[in-house]
Amino acid sequence: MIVFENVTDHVEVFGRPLDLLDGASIEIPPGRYGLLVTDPLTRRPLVDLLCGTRPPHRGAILRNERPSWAIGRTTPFRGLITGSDMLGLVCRLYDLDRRYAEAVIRDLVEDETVLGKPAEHWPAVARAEFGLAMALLPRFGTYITDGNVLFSPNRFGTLWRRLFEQRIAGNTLIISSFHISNISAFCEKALIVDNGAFSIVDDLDEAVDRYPPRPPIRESGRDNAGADDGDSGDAEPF
Amino acid sequence: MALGDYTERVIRAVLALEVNDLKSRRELYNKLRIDVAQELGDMESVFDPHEIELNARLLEFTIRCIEADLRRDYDIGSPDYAPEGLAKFRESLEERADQIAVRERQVVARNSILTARGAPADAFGDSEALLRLSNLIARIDEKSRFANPELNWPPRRVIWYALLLRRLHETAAASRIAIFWVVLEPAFLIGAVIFGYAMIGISYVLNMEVAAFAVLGVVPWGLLRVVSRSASNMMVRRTDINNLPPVSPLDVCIAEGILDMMIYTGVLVICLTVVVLLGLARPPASYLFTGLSWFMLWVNAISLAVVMGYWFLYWPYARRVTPVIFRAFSIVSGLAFVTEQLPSSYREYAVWNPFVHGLQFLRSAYFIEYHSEDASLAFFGVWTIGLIVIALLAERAMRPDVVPR
Repeated sequence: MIVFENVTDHVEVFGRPLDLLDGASIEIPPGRYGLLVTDPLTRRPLVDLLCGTRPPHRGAILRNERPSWAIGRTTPFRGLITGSDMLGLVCRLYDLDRRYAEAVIRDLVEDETVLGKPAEHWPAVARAEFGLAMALLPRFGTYITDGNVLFSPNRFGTLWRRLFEQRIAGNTLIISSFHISNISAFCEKALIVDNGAFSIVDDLDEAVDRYPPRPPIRESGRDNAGADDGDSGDAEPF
Repeated sequence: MALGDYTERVIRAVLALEVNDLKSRRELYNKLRIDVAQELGDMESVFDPHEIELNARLLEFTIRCIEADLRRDYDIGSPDYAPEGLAKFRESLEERADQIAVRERQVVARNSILTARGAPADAFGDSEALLRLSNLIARIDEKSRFANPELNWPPRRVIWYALLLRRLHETAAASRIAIFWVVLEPAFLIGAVIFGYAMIGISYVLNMEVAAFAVLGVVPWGLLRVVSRSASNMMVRRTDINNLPPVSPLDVCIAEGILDMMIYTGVLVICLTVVVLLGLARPPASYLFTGLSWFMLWVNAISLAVVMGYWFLYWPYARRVTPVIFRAFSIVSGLAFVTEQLPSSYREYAVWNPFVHGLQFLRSAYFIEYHSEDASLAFFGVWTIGLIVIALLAERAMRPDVVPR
């Protein structure tokens, strides 16, 4: 369960402040939610609040279960280190048996050479697969996604989805994506953020019609966020 | 895999603008990006990451070329107009698409093999692979102390250790030559200090051998400078790792500080060993107090890094200003002198610099003949604790604004 207590928060996007929440309070019980927002630029910072990777400016967010990282976001899996080193990092942070974890990754991802290559040389799909596969290893109480988590129905996509369904069974899931396929595949209810306040709506279809998921403005290829970095991006500097 | 052609669309949209200025064009480009992204995403089948990525890159490049040509006053409405470089870029994307297609065919072939082994392609859910993976994941849960998903995280030392190893791997992958430069850079400065004293015929500074005296000024100052700069940069710029929930910006800062301390401790040991083996100095009088003084300087450096991180976050230009400040400050921080050498009219001002006290404590611990009259434990202690408090307050204040990348 996640409880927001009088949370006020804002972030800076393109040098301008963007208000996220204004004295928002809600108790999110266990369930499967699609995160729907009026401004697509608020999706990513809201996911940061839900994952606990950034505290709000005012108010408190209380949890009684361990939240996942933003599954689908590939920025933690970039840089000069190899997949094997990244696997080592996650195993140390979450106390996972390295041998079994490596066996899962080798069996699941299509391109197991990522374990030996620096991440900067990986193709986008390999990076996305690796990030999603890593998300299956630790056990979380709340699973939060940011970006597309549905692949083509090939071996990886089908196996990952089955394993993910096993992982989220009985736990809270919050899907943040502008792809309606993700929301309809996993969610039962809508978690709406409108005008700085939360609400939960049971009729998912009606909520999606009122708050259609849209992509944010994409960033140029020069900086970090690209097509493979969840759904988020910043404006082209023109 | 289909690569679109956005040239006509962008040109028509730009020419249709009522007011063709930069602001209107920026808004138009953003609208085009959103529309194209929506079109690509609105497929009945599930998202194809290759198609969206390659088409998005093609659209961006098209926009860049046309905007650049507009700024050069080219007539983009002319029938002969073609954006320069676009054809070549498109070719490179098509090559990439072919490489991806080859890989996908290999994947299909592999799937066919699995099918032949009795796992139908549409029933991976019941396949041997699913059972095997489920069992492996169950084994991972059994062996993990965090299998129960209650809100518990590993101790801070585990997080720092994990981040430290990650930075070590990155450093090793980046450049092996950089490791040598870390030793060579202070060696040059040590040489300069020794040479400076030799020029005026001094081989002992207040009964301290000049060689070890120089090492104990240059290397600690290097520690202060490097730790405060790199740890603060890591804290506010390398926020990709902050996407993993137990990791906070302060953890990243401390892990980087530990890495730099390890490196500079190695540099200090190497430099002192060289001067001792060359007969230019004696070993330290007290290893314990030398180590404690060194550690106190590191604590100051880490606290300074957090405060600088706060400054960098809210005023990015500070990153350009701080190297200049550090260079100027190094002159008055006891790098090449001790305050007891100064005339009394300058001495009373020099002792207000807290880092002077830190360096003089270090030299007092090393040299049995030198006991600093000016270094004050109370002053340095209060300064250190005050800096820690300010750093913790700064870290608390900046946490909501350190956004994971």
